[in-house]
Amino acid sequence: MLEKGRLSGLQMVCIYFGSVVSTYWLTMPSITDAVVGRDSWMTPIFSCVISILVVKVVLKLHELYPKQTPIEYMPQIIGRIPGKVLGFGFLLYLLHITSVISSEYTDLINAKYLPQTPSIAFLLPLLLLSGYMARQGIEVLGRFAFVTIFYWGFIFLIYFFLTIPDMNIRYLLPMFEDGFTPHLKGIFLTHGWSSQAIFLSFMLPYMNAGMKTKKLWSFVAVAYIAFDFVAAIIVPKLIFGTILSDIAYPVFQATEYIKIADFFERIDLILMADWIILIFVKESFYVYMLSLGLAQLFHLSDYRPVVFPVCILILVISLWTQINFSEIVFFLQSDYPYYTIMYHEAVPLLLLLIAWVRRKMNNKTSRGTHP
Amino acid sequence: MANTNCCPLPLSKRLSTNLHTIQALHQDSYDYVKHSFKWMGHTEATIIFLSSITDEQSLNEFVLEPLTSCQNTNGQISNTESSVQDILQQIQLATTKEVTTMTQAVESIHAGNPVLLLDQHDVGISFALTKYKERAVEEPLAESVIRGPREGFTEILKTNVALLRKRIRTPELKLKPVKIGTDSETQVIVAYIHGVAKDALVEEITGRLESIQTDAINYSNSITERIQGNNSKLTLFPQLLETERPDSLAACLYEGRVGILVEHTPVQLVAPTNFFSLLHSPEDYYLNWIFSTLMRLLRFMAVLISLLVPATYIAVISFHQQLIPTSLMITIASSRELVPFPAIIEVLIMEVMFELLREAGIRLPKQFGSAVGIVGALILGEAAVQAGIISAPMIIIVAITGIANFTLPHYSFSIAFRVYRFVMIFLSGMMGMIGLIYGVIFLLVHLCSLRSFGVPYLSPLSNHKWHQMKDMLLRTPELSVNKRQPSRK
Repeated sequence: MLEKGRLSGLQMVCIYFGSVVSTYWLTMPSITDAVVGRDSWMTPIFSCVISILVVKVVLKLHELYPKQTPIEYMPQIIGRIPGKVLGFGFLLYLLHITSVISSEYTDLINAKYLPQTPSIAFLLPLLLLSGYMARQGIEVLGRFAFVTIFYWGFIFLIYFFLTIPDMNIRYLLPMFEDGFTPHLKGIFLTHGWSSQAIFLSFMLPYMNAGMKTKKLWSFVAVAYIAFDFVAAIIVPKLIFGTILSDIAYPVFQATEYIKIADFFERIDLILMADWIILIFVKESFYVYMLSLGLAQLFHLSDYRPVVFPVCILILVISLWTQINFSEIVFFLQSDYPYYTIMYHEAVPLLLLLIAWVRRKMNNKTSRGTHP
Repeated sequence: MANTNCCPLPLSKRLSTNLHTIQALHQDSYDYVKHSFKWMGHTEATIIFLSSITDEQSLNEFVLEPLTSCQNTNGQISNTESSVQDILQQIQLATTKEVTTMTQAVESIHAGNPVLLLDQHDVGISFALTKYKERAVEEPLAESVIRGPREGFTEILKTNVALLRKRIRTPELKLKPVKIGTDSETQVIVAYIHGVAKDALVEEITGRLESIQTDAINYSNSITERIQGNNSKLTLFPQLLETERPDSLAACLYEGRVGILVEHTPVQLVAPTNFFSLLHSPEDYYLNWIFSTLMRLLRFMAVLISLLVPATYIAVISFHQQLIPTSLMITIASSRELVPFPAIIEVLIMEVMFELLREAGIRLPKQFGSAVGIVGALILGEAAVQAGIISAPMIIIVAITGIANFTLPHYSFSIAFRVYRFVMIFLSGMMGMIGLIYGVIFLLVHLCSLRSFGVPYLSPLSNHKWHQMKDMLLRTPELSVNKRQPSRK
C-alpha cells in the first residue's frame, strides 16, 4: 500500500469539514438564496437525503473493497482498461475542480485583502504548502485538520453570538410560503456539495477502525456538514434578509458588522485568517487525492514524487482558466450541478451495481463448479 | 580503544613484558604512576595507576599497606589462583576485578582503577578506587524554582544515579548501561521503570544508542542529535526533553518515559517528549493546581506572543489598518510620524538588537551584565525613540516578545520560537496577515509531522486522547491523576 498512515474518525470528519465547508462559505449561501428564497436555510437539511445516499453507496463499495480507494477498485469492477479510463477521468475532474478552488481563493484574496498583489504571489505559496502537507501523508493531514478544525465549531459559535445584535428574526418569516418546490430546485443546485461525501472514499481505507465505527463517523461527517451549511446560510440571512442573494461573500460580509465593546472592529480579517486554514486543508486533501490517485493509477511505488508536479499543474491550470468571480458564480449556478452528477453520483452508483451483479454471478458460478 | 594495537593480547606471565607494553602506551603521560614492591617477600609486584583520577590515599591505606606488610614464611611460590585469593583476602575492598587481557588492564587504568600485576602470574587485579574531582549537588541555574527541591544533577554519573535512586526506591527502576564513543568511552545509562515504560520504547532507545558510531561524546546534545528520528533531523524543536532536575526526571520515569543519563553533563535527556510537556515546569506540581493551570495557560499564550506579536504588528500596521480602532490608530500614527523606516525594517532592527543584547549578556561576566542592561535600556530604548529612529510602540512590541520568550521553561524549546519569529516577520512583511497565516500553517504542518520516538509531537491534542489532555494545558488536581499506571494495577 502506498499510504501507511492511519486516521481516526474525528480526524476524518475534520478533513472532510475543511474540504467541503471552505468553499461553500464563499458563494453558496447567496446562490442557494437566489434560487430558494426565504427558506434557503432549510435546503441543506433536505439535501441530507443526497448526502446519506452517497455515503451509503461509498460505504457499500468500501465494504466490498475495504483496503482500496476508488482509483484502485474501478479497474477491478469494470475491467482493466475501462476502469483505468474512468479513474483517469476522475483525476482530470479533480484537477479541474482543484484549479477552480484555487481561482476562488485568489479571487477572494484579491477582492478583499490584497487587491494589488498578483494572484500567483499568494497562490504559489499555498500550493507549495499543500504539496508539503500532501507529502507527509494522510495521517499528518488528519492531525493537522484535527488541531486546526476541531475548534471551528466554537469559532463559528462565537461569530454567531457576536452577530446577534445585527440579526432580525423577521427575515425568516413566513416559512414555507412557496411550499416545497423551491427546495427541490435548491437540492438539485447544491447537490454538488452534498454529494462530496464521495471523497470520504479516499479516507475510509486508511481509517483505523471497524466497519461500524466507520459508518458512524461517515454519518457524523454528513450531519456536521449539514449543520454548518445551515449555519452558513442562516447567519447572513438573518442579517441581510432579501438582499443575501446579491452579496458576494456573505459570511465574511456578515462578520464585518461585528463590533466588540465599541473598540474592536473589522475582525472579519481574523475569520479570514482562520478560513485560509480551511482552504489549505481542502487544497492539501485534493492534492493528496490527486497524487495518490495518479500513483495508484500508474502503479507507482510512491506517490510523493508526483506531489509537487501536481501542484505546479494545478497552478498552471488555475492561471489558464483564471475565471473571475461572476464567472465562478455562473459556473456554480449553471454547470456545476450537471458537472458533478457523473463522478459524485452516477459513477459510484453504477460501480456498486456492477460490483453487486458481478459478485452474484461469481457466487453462482463458484457454486456451480464446487458443489 | 583506538590507540591500543594490543587489543586481544592476554597478559603475559612475565611481569617485565607486561610492564613494557603498558609503558609503551603511556609515553608522555604526566600522571602515569608505576609502583613496584615485593609481595610476600618473594614475588615481584607492580601497581599501575593514573594519579590524577585515582584515590591515592585509599590506595596506600587499603591496598599497599596490607600487601607490603604481610610476609610469607615458607617462601614458596604458590600457583596463580591461590595467590589471587590470598591478595583478595588481605585487601578490604568491596569491588575488585580480575583482569586477564591487556585491553582490560589498560581500560581499568584509564577508568581510574589501579591494576596490580604480579610476576609469574597472567592475571592482574584492579581495584575500584576511582576519584574524580566533583562539585557539590547544587540548584540548577537554568531550571530554578521557587518551591521544590534545590537539587540538580552534576557531572558525575554516580551522583546523578544516586539522586534518582533516592526518589525511586524500587528494584523496578532499571539502569541499563551503554558505552558510547571509542575514545571517550562515555557511560550512558538508559533509566526506566520496568512495567511502566513500554519495552518496545526501551529497546528502540537502547538500539539507537548502541548504533552510535563515534570517537567521542562530550555532551548530551551530541546524543540527542544522533538518536532523534530521521524525519526530524531538520527541526528546531527539541525531540528529547532536557532536564537538570532529578525530581522532573523521576516524574517523567513514573509517567512511563525513558531517561537517558549521560556522563560528564548535568543535562539529562528524557524520551519521548511532545510539544506540551515542553511547556510544563516542575514547579507546576509544587504549587496550587488552580494557579498552576493558569500559569500553564499563560505560558501557552507566551508561546503565541513570542511567535506572533511582532509579525502581527507589521501585518496590521502595513496591510490591515482597518483592524486598529481609530483612537489607537491615531496614537500609533503620531508616534510613527518621524520614523523614517517601514515597519518591517523597524522590527528587524529592534529584534536583531535584542538578540545581540541577549547573546552579549550570556557571555559577559556578571559584573558587566548590568552594563549591558544599561546600554540596552537607556541607549537603545530611550535614545532610539527620542531620536525618532524607532517608534515607541515598537519598543513595547519587542519587549513583550522578549519577555514572553523568557517565560518558556525549557531553553531549547524557546530557541525554536526565537528563530521562527523572524520567519514570521518576513512573511507578514511580504503579505500581511495572509503571509502570517502561511507561516503558521507551515509551522503546524511541521509540528504535526514530527514524531518523537513514535509519539506524535502534538499529541495528545492531535490524536484526541482525551484522558491525557487533563495534564496537558491544564494541571488538574492530584486526586484526578493520582491513579496507578494501568499496566501496574
